[in-house]
Amino acid sequence: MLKWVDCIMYEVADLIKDGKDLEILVSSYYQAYDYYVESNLKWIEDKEDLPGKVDILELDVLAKMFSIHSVERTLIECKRGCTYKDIFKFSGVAKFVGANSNVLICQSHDINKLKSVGDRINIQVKTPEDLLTTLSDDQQEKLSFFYDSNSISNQLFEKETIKSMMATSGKFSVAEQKAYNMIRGYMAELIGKIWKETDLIQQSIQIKDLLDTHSDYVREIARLLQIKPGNKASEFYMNQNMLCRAAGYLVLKVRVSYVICAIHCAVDLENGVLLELDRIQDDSFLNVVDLSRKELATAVKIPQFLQEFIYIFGGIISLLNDVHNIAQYMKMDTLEMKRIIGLLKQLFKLTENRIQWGFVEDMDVLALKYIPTPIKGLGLINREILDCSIDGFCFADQWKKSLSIYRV
Amino acid sequence: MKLLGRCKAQYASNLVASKKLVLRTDRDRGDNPFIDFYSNEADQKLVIKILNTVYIEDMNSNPARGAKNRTDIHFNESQLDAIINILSPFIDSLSITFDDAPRSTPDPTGMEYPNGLPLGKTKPITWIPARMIVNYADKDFSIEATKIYIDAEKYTRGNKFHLGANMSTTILNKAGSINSFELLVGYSQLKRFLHTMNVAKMWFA
Repeated sequence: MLKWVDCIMYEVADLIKDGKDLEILVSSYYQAYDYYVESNLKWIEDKEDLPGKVDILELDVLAKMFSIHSVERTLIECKRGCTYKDIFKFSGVAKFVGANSNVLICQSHDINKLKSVGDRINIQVKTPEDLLTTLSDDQQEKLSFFYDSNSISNQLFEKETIKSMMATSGKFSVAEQKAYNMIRGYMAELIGKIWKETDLIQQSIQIKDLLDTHSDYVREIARLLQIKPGNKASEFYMNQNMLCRAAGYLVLKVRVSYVICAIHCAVDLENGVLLELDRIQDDSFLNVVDLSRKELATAVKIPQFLQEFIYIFGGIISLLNDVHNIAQYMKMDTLEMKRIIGLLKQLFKLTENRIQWGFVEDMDVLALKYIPTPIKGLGLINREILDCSIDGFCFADQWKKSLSIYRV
Repeated sequence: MKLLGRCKAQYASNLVASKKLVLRTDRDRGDNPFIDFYSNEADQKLVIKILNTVYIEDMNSNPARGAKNRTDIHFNESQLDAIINILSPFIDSLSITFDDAPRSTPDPTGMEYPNGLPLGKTKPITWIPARMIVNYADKDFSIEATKIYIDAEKYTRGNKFHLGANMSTTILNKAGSINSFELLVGYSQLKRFLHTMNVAKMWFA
């Protein structure tokens, strides 16, 4: 495993080969500091007179720190070869987004001058080296775990990676190209529009619309690709086809966003912020908000818990011999972790028909639905690094092997 | 088909309400059932047969009440070890992709006795798609199921690994010349099938 601090003097420049690497590093850094992170963000608007969308700009990371008192937002832009133009452009974006703090992570020969400009316009300017020197040993390890899973998460949506695994390697058929475009379109709603909506009620309505528009999304993609047989559960198709895998993973991200949005609403409401809940028609969302308000101290731990559970532990937990280890890693006792999982199970439940769309319990393993196999595999490798048993996982070899096509 | 191994079975029972019949073997009452494991490479299936001292009996209870189209098969812990020893080398040698899609697990024992007396602590483990054929050779018919529920049970008389199936009510032609329970499991399900035994053992421990 990489020891990031050891890399600082001579390897950071090699590790960060492009803007994407820097963005992954910075996302992982904030995750290691227990922020809930949304990344790969864009500013996308519909064209006014024509069909289609237009990309206004790209943003890198929005990091949120949940507490019972507030949700503090930090907007972070990563720039290699940063110039004065970049810092002033970011300043304008930051004003519009209205985060609590704004950070520009950059590599530049003029770094000291950029820092002093940043001081005057309320932007913290830092280098990757500035970040890495603050990490404890535990945080270094956590950063490494997040770095790998963020990297794989990106690759799961990468056109070239997906193409390389299709029937005709390196090429998309017409149907596959159409499916890929649909997935990118769906993703654009999440990372291009929803994140920047500062009105939480409006954000929740947008996410619900997204879920309703594609209520059976993986199977919708599978049908488009004419994958046989046609009557299997979504996860069957996720294992069969890389486009279905990307679609399922996206559904998971949207569902998680919905739960996080509800917890954010609960925090605001408990702290006297007025939210027009009567605009929301989804009873299950209101139920989640209500439940989160009643158990706010537990609910505010969920964003960080979900992030570590998915990206470090693969969204799977063996109920026989894993609970204690994971709780210990997350620095909580097993009772607290069980309480968080219990609340999460309730939050993932739809009120109307009591469908549990969050977890499935199978062979004594509790698993979040729609976790792609390589993420599970990474969760098992991380357990091995932490000296935790993986005996409880039936498909450990298969899941670890699925990582072989990804760059880790 | 290639014989992978043979070991003792504990108990197997099938009820057919429409015929008011039971097919049964039970080591506790002095029967001596065995279980044979075969690999069928052509069909990529594991074939499991319970045979020897398998008897047809009249159904004593009221066939109109309760779940009466079921099959239940039990193994005790030592039999489980023997089965694991037979199956592990074979399954480990398979270089195929196993079906790893998670599936929610209903409680087969709970379904069997929804309002009945609790028999002990039970732990639902999983289910597998598999073809179960119960052959009443002496009565010239057979019945089938397509899904097997697996759980572990801690009873006062000992720990049991339990396979349960809700049988189709369709009566089919007999499937051979001896009374038997036969289970056909696709290779892609075998890793899961084997692991259920390890989960049961960990829970018993």
